[in-house]
Amino acid sequence: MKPLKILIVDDSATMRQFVRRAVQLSDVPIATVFEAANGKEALALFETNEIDAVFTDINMPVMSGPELLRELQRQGRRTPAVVVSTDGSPARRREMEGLAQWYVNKPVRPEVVRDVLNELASSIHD
Amino acid sequence: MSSTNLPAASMTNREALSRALAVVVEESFFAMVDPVPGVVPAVEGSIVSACVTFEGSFSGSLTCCLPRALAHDLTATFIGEEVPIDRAAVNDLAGEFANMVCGRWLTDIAPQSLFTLDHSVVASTNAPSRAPSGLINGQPIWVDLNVG
Repeated sequence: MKPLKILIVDDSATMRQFVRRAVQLSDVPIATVFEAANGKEALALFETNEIDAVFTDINMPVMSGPELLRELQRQGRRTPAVVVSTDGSPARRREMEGLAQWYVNKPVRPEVVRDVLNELASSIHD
Repeated sequence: MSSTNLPAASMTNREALSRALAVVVEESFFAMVDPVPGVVPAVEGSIVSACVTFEGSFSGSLTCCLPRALAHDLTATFIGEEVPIDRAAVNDLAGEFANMVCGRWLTDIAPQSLFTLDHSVVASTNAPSRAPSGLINGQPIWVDLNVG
């Protein structure tokens, strides 16, 4: 299995650290974990790096998660996306349909991140 | 946009808020929110306050106040003991804590509404004079709602 390059987008440094730790504790081989504090920083990383999957928050200053995912779609990128958000409402989940393949609610347990990453890795390598 | 009439101090609100706090503490920090005994333990050191404002079918803010020592312990649980924990990390964790409690509460009470949560504002403050909302690891935490 090819090691994955993962991007974590969240305005909270501690949440990025939490997701990074959960990702690195998983069984999925990881090549690199990039971090960005908002959608704009994430887009800049996409310009200069090959990224296999993105974990993103929704509410962020400068550029939100939905804005980031719409821009990636507009650019024709088909990077698998996982939304990690405090907002678990059906209304928000409906809004994110078509933008992200996975939706994880905060508070999130590390094993939930691991399970999603396993599914994500399988979908990439199938 | 759906309209949600939210009485600011209703029992439903307070119960939902207590539930949201308990879920966040249990799932992210592997701890419990204990009831406050007759005598509230004294707070040693400073208090950190994190306020998150939200806007949607109704608007308002949620503020969490907790001893900095407790915020430090929660940060260590959240990101791991092996990572150096400085003041910025503790402040960031306090903000994310308030964000998670607020998001969970809004999801519970208004699942059909979309809300925008602003970045949390974190500051040092004095210990509130009122009774805490609960105890975590024996230390008090205050959670307050202000719904417009």
